[in-house]
Amino acid sequence: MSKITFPIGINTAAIHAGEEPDPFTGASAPNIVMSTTFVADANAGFSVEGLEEDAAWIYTRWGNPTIHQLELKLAALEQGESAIAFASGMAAITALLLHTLRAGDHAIVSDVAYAALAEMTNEMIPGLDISITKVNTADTEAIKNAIRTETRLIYIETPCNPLLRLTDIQEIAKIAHGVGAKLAVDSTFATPLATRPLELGADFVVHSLTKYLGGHGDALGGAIIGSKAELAALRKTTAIRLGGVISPFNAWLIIRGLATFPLRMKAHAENALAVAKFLENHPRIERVIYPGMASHPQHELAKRQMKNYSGMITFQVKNGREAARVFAENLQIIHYAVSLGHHRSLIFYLPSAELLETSFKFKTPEQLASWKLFAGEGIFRFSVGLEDAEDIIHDLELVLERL
Amino acid sequence: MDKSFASRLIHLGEKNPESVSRTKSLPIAMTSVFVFDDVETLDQVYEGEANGYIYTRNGNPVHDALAEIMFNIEEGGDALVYSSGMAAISLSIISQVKAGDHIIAANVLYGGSFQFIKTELARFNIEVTFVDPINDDITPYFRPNTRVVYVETISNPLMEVIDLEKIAQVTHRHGAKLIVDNTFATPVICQPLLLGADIVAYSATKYLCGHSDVTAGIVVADKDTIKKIYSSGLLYGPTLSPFDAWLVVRSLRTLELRLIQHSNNALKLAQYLETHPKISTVYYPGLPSSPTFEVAQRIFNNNLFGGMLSIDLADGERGAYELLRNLETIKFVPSLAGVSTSTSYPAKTSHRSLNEEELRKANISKGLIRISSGLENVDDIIQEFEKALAKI
Repeated sequence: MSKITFPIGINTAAIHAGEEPDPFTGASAPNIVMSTTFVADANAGFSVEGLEEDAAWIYTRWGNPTIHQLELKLAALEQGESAIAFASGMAAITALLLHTLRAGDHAIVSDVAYAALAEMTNEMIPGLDISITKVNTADTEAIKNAIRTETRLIYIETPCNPLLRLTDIQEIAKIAHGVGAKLAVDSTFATPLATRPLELGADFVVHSLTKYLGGHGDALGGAIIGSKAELAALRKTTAIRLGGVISPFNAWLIIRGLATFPLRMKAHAENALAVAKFLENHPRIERVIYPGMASHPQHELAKRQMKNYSGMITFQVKNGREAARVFAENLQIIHYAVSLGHHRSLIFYLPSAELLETSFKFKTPEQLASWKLFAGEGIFRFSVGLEDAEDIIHDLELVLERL
Repeated sequence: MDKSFASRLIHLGEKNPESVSRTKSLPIAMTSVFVFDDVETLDQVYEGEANGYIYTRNGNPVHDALAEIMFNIEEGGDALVYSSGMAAISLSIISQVKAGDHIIAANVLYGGSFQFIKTELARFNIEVTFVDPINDDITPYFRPNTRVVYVETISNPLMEVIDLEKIAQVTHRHGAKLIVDNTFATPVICQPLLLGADIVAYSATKYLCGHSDVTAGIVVADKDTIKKIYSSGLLYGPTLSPFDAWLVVRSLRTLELRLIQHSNNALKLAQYLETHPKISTVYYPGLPSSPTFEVAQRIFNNNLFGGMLSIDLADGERGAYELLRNLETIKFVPSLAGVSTSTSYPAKTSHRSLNEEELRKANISKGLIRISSGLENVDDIIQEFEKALAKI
């Protein structure tokens, strides 16, 4: 592609950024370069230590033309200098944690987060002599109180999974930088159409590309976006050494998914708002949480920090566990399944007691109170899809009648 | 060890593991052939008494998934998928005619369809009359042996919209079938079967796939008609790769979102170009200046007019060449309907096979550029045209 000489919008970036027609054939769509290795010239180095930024392609775990196009596109969408793609969201998170933290370091991690991260930071990471403090990152004072001299990283999710509780990125970035720590933001639920954490002061953005960015429920992937210098160092160490490399084919599917990502996000958000409004007025529903509604406890922050409220909602009903059975057996359109961010609507019940036992181990009554405020005894996490809103609502209506 | 190393390498992993849950995404059934436990089952499948697959040229689960989506949104009885739009178009026509028959076709058609009808069908002694179904009454051209009327919803490249309701009535009054290539419109914008057409054919390479990465064709009609086309297709053999079918299924998930954006962008671009002094004419069915604006308003859904438009440069051939050279990110690509905006030069691409006389008759000038408006922010598209036109 010729260099674009004027600033472009996010739809244009989603389609064009990072891509160029194949120099040999002129192929307009990106090639799937399904090659593990590349024919090198005689003076190519054998160690990643000497890897220059403009080096020729050598080995796909180090870099690959298809994966590279995905990385350039992700960097452009997040307005970051650089990006690295991984085999999964968890591969990205692992590479980030092990790049930023050493034995003796301390990190502050959101006390409610994607369960795999929560569990990883409960035992595995502390096992490497890295201490972790879990706090409610929506509570600025709690973060300030958790800071130690050896704090190197603050890791947040906003909106967090599964509560949809928000964290003020700008506020936390100031705190982190004040003590020489880095701020990493998992922006999987928000996507760059809603929020660009780097512009708000974050040092790293993490994505599970499996969700909204890929958007079709068919390819796993993850990414870290950040500064050129940091990511160049990260690539040489944890990215290449831990080996969580994404398949060029999956990278290509995600590039393809990204072309329609801004369109999809607008539709997800419109549908989610319609569904949330329906649920809020339904007699069987006790509580609905959606950042786009005035009833969300942090709606003011949502308005300030999110240009799009995304497609995730949670809701509570009486006797959630029994309701979950009725939902699983009777929903016609909505799939009762984990994961999120696909074109299909997906719903799953998360009982509080079980999650507080396995994933989120709170230390203070305030932490528990915040959980109860958002989740009560348990929530249905609902990833609202791209179907017609009326059909999603109809499907829910019929099932709710059975409760 | 009861089996040799090689046998285990070849056979293990063939049977799906037992599972009470299913893959949430459609699996890619990348297989040419299917396995039977006994001859009785094979017989039942061949005779249509049991649901099953035999050989991918006869059918494949991914083909069926794609067909199911298409006949549903098209409100038809059944659908077939093929390896290209030309396979879908040629089979639709061939299934309806035999030697000695006559067909009426629009005089402005996609170049490939025009050549197929003009030269290939002639080899089988099938006569054709090309007429202008938009500005002329086609009634006088029917003969007792006329079997098919073949048109495109939106003509290429002048973007005129045909009154499908009227054409369907005239066609049926003469006992013929109406075949419509609905590629430019898609079922989001127009559903020809609901307007009276008998067969709808698509180059799925275009909007249905929409990402410029698959070549495919689709036919939708009632069940009996599809059966006839199926038997022809089985013999001609233009089988769509299950992988490509899977990509088209994936694309259809966003078809409506894409078509809304394609249409909105095209309308704004058309409105901008219509006021530009270096453009003499803009051809877009959503402009009140279009000769077929009223027809489009009547037969199109949701007040959408599609992503395709054409422009005539005031400077003619020289202006067209310069514009194509000056555009930077908007590429000269002899196809259409991808996520990115692209241009084409009909006189040298889609209508290259037409001679000077045929080009003149079809009103395709040397200054005509066709634009496929993409999904970018429309301001970016307009800005690029503005810069490129300023240099002419």
